[in-house]
Amino acid sequence: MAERRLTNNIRTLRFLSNEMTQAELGERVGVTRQTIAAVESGKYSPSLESAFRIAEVFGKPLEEVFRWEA
Amino acid sequence: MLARERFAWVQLTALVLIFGVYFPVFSMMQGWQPGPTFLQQIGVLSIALGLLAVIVLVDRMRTWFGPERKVKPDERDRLIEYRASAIGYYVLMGGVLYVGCYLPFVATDKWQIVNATLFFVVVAEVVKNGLVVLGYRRGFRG
Repeated sequence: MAERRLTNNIRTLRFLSNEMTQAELGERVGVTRQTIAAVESGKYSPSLESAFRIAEVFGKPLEEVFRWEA
Repeated sequence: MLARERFAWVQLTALVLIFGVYFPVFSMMQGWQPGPTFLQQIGVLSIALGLLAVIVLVDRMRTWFGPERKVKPDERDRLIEYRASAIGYYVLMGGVLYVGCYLPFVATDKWQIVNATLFFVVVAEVVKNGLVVLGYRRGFRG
């Protein structure tokens, strides 16, 4: 199977949520600011649980936050 | 930088610097005429281990008594630690097999076994801490 990478809209969604900081998002999800930074930059794929929590914070379905890179 | 990443950097640097000096010094001492005494050899080993203990303890205390003590490891920290420890464990196992199953039959000196054991512990720790640093710098996927 061809290797595909996950990408995300977290940076945009943070901007649309009143410039929510990475630290604030991390606190609400239950991870560190560094982990949010790593997820945003594609260096770390979060667990399913954290991915759902991130989507929940923004009030979006999972597929609007994370998707396969085109 | 997270305390865990800094700690891996400190340990990695300390191990490379201290044992990068210890092993050549110990090997140089074997060329002395007459050879080094037991006290001299144990002294060099104690200095190396003592230095490492002080450096690690000072850095640990920064975490224990600083504001970082409140930061608990999250899923990414645990994953990085788990993967690094697993690979470090295999390196250590290879060393244990060499030191425990082969070296006793060929070693000409007890210190050879002591230093080979120490060498593999150091290599395993360097690999583990190196992978922790790499995990934080370059990331782990999947």
